[in-house]
Amino acid sequence: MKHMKTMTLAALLAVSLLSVYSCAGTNSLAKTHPVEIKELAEAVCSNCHTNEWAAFDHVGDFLTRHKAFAAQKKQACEVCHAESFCTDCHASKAGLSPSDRYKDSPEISYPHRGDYLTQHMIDGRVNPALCMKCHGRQNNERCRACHK
Amino acid sequence: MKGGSCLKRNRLLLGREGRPQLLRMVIMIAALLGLQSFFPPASSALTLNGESNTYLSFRETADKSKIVPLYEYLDLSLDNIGDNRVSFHSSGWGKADLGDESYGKRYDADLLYAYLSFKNDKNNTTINLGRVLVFEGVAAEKVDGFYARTDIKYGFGASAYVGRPVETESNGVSGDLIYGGRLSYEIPSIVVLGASYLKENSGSSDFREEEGADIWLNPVRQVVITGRSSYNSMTNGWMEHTYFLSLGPFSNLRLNSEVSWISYKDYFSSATTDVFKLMTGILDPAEKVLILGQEAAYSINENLTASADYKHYDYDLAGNANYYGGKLSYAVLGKGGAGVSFHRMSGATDKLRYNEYRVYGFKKFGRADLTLDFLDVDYDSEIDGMKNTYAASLAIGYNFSNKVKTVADVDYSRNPNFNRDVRTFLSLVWQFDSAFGGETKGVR
Repeated sequence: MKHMKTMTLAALLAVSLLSVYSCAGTNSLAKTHPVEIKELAEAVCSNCHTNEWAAFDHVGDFLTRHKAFAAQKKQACEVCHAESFCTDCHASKAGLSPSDRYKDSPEISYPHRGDYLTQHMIDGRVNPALCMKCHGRQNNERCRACHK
Repeated sequence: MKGGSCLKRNRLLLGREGRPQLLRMVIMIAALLGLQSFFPPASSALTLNGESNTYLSFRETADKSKIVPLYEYLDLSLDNIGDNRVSFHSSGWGKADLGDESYGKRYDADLLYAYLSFKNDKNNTTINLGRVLVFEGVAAEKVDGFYARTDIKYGFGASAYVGRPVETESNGVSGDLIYGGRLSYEIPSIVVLGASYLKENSGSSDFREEEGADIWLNPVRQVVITGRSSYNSMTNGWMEHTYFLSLGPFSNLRLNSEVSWISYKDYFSSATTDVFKLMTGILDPAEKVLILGQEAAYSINENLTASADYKHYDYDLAGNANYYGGKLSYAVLGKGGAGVSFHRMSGATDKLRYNEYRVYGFKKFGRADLTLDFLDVDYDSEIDGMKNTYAASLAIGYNFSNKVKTVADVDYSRNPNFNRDVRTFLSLVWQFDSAFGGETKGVR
């Protein structure tokens, strides 16, 4: 595994140069989706796409699976979503929770609905790795109000 | 006190070192503009797009403090900065407590991101400079620095980033440098393979070093496998393996499976939030958990979907837990929807045995809309003297236009902390755009 450090440093230099002299010849993804998607029920990509984009269907447990897509092709997410959509949850400091900000979108499975003060103790025991994604390295002030 | 608050707010914008951080930002922006000269120019009109979200809430705490925070979330984008491939994107929020002080801070703010971006029409080449969000393999980071990615040739792609990790001041860890990247190989519509690396130094010592491998595999239509394995080189152990299998749709039926394995010692070793630090005793470093999940969703018709899901948690130390249930959801585009769900958590400890019920509905009436949401958790045994907790919310929205909307909502809940907790919330969303010498393309 240690050799990956060298590889990455080489990649850093390589990507910088390749960005300038890149020769893949691929067409970049569109900056914005040609049809505006306004509601979650519309985000069924397979209704129109039969290629790899069909897998982006925002149905079922997509909330759980979205990390795999974002880690591989964030530029595909950006076709429909502004980055503030990511930072609604993945923020560095605890502002308002998305379940508070979007009460008028109950169909979206935001994780902090209801009495989350009680429920977070349980969810935190069940799978703390899920909490770690957003709260593990940040959001300390609010956590420290109790966890001193 | 006031001066201290102002200083902290300035630090959020300028970084811990104030002016040098700003200077670095200016140098990076100048560098990006310089990079433009390598690509053929494309002229266009400068456009400004933005969204302002203003929130005012009211609640009373157990000690009768009246908390009235006013929040402003502001997103701003500038497109076509001299060239249709160059843009600027930013987002941030600020808060002022109009009533009593909450969490020891009357004022607070955060710059979520702010960067200048170059996106070429070819090769998916992207270069971002400033406060950037990086999601690449093992990295899900916010970095004050540089990010670039591009397709190379023969299906290969590469990305890299370097900069200063953005962390809140009370973390207790001052990461001075973070860098990493991801190499990928893709056969369009069939497979994407990635190898990623991340390194973070705190002062002169290493703080994080992670490697990962990721996959997206679509061997035949209606079958997708995706996932990632992450390795912690500081602890010399695997942090997690998380893989998903999606099957369908087969005549309105979709099946989703998940297999995850997490080692606490390796996964939480770089936590800076106290509750996740392994030495506090809340999390046992020796714990490992295997999670097996399955979901089946069936679209009864265009509007109605029924789903059942099951998740099994197999802990090395804490025993097992099972979470299972079902949901029926209904949605009509542009008009409204509803849902009802039931889930049962059945675990080894008292707190891990409960039933969860949820009912929600939303309906549009011309320019207005109404949302109702009710969530009830019924524990098998008392938690702090209470077996049943619930939260209900009512939200009423009104669209003044396609770009201006207001929502007023009230929450009522009963839980171990409050016999009766009432919170009110008022929001105003305003989208705006402006073209300088051309037409706008609207707000996303």
